[in-house]
Amino acid sequence: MQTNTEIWRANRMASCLLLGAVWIWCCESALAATVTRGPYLQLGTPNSIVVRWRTDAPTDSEVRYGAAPGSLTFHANSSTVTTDHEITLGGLTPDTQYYYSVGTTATILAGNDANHFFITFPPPGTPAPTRIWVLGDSGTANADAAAVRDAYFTATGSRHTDIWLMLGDNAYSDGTDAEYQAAVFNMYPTLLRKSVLWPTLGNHDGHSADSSSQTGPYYSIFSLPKQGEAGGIASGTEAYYSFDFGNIHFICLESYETDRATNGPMANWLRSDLAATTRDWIVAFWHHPPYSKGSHNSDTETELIEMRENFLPILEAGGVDLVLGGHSHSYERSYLIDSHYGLSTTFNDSYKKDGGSGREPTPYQKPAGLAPHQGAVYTVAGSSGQTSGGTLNHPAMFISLNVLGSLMLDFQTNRLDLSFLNSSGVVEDEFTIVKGASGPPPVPTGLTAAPGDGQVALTWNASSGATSYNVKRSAASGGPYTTIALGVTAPSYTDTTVANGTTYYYVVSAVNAAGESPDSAEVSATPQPLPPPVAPTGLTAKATGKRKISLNWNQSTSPNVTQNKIYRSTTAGGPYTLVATIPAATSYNNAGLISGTTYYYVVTAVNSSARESPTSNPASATAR
Amino acid sequence: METTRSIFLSLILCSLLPAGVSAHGDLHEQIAAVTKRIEKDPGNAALFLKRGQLHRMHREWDAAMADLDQASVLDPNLSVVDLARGRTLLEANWPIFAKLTLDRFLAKQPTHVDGLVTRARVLVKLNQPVAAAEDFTRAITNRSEPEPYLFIERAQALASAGDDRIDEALRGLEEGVKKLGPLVTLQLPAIELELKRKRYEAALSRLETIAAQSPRKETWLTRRAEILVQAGRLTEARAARMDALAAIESLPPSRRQDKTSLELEARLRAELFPQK
Repeated sequence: MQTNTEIWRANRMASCLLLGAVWIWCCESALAATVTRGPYLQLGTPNSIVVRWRTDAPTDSEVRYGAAPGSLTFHANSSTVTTDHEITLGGLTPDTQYYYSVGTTATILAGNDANHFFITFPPPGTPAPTRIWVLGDSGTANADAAAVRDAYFTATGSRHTDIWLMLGDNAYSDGTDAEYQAAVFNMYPTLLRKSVLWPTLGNHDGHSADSSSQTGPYYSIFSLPKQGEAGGIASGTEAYYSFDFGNIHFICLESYETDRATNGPMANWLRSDLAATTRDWIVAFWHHPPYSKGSHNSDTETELIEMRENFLPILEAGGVDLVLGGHSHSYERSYLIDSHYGLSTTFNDSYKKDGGSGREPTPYQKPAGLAPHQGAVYTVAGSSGQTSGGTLNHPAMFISLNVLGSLMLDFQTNRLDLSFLNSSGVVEDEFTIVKGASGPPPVPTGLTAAPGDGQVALTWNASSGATSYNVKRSAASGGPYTTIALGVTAPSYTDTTVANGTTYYYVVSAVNAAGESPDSAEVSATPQPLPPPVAPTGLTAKATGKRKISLNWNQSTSPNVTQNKIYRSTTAGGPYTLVATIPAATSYNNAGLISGTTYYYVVTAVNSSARESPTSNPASATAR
Repeated sequence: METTRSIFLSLILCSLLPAGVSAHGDLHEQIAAVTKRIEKDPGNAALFLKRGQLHRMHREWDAAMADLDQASVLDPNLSVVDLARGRTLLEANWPIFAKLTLDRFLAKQPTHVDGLVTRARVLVKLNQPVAAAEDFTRAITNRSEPEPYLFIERAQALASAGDDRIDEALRGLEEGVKKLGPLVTLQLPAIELELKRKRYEAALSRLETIAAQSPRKETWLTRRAEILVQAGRLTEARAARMDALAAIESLPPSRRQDKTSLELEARLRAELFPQK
């Protein structure tokens, strides 16, 4: 029979043995552990950052950090034994470089060298020169993806990448953990440990992840802000979120699995988030592009259409500057455009806030800060892992390329420069947006003058940053010009104060708060009266009721027909009497006739210059 | 053993596929790829289940149901097929049949969150909002980190059941606020419900929690004024409008001059200083 003491001793002995075994196991694990993923940086803010990594054996977790390698004087740790490690470092100083290591409380497994560091985000709202790398559909884990990566690394050189974005389809073909290992962690290890990556979910990531439950590899791998912890309004979900970097507000939407309705949670959150931001720039990104004619068609595919119809009005009212998408494996980049939510066939020049290239010396210009509906550039950048062609002819696009590459963005206070870098390192497209430029707008381009009858219709390309235009006219080439219209807000004007037969010479200038641009290139036009229209054809007459005859004809094929005249006779060949003048039409009912009488008709067409055509063929019918 | 394996496989496959996606895009390619695999392995129930789901996303209801039926024939123990059928029938707008099949599924897996959410949506379509709310509640209970939409859809269901359910709807949203924080997506519908009950003070209090998160206050101060007008508290409404005006005036010139700010300012001035 054992006493209580003996039982206690026996238990104590057993406990000691067990603890010892656990300790040895932990030590062995720690000694044996190797970092198999990362480290990689997540959820950066001015004062905090998340460091994550994976080990091949379970261990506890510790990040040591400090001002220099070999001098990692701070640490944060977790006693939880795991293979997937996630440590949040808080209390950091904004815009400061820290070196770090990852490992266990006993051992450093990686880092503590010049290649493991991060730079905390700038203080909120403070403009800072910012370099951003943007990859779309990069998850092929192949030589193409590697070429795009290497081209960017060469281009950026020693310039630190402040943040990088992945536009979805980050790991083909199903976004599994193993595919993420190959396409992300094995592909970009050096950047992952130095720069915070912000992703969005693509359809291929969605094959194995579920946004409604925030489960699956995508949601397990990334730590994203749900509570507004990186700036912006809390979304309550990692599927869509926002964050700030200096004076730039980033908005990530989820275009695949999340409700895209205008009154859904994502749209309601977006409105509040936009209303709350005080930053100077807004960049929005999601996977399915609102405009594309690449390997996906924004006229026919549900996600693309709904994002365009339901979310662009909200974003543009909030002053969005740049929208990034992927999905199509191509590079497509729009003009500076606004308010186009329909099919590509409905796009025309009126949607262009600036129909130019946006390249220096004529960058796109916008007012300072966030102004609604001042234009945004829409970019498809889904060729970071493969190209898949397409018609590449969306009319909103300034340029469309079936070329491998990625985007390099540079922000400087009131200036954004975007470059599309191909896989050989060549910049194949670039543009600039300047906000609150101090000078007057650029000279309007593309002025055309179309003569009409007593009028001249003028159109030109919108000049970025212009608030209005002045239209000037001269009777002699080269001027002097008289201003005939001030404060014209649209890039078009019709001059109705002209005399037919006289040649007029026109120029326009663009105006903003800073002043007036030089005059545009001159164009001329000589208004002329319209010639008479050709006659209507195919006139038929038929008794269709009591004392009623119906007439039908083919309209004159001449332009600007405004009226038709109906002539009648009771004698074949006339003479005819005018019985009606009607707005341009192709039928007429002549009632109140005398039963048994045969009536003969002809019709004519009249144009906007009141010129009348010859008569049509005659037609007759006998009234009942 | 094989059955267990195939159930497990199917569960994974089912969870892989998102609900409510109706695009084309890569669906054609995916369907073609699965079809090729079926040609090589025609006895694989999981493949038919997967293709059925893809057809559903492509809104090809007949093809989807045919594949799901075949999956059932090949593996009668694949209960998840009923969930897939339920989703298909819901999206095809056959809610009565959707409910029958989801009842069958949930009888076997009563805590399956996707099953509960899908049946809740079916019940909303069948104009049974209280029963729908109960399913949403079960889904919330069985989710470790419930998403905002679960609370929102439950509140919408209850609010549609009549005024006597509004308090319950509000309590549900409040539960979401407690779990997820004062999310604007939860507070905005809650404010509307408070106003429906004419509980102006509660609506104003919720509005405060939203405004507190936003560096820009003018929009929320204007909303505050609107609520105060509804409450008949006109003096306070005027003060709120003055505060909103002051908030706009304190904006940097670039923001103050933007169209939204100018329109809001004009509206506030018109309300504060009407032309006689």
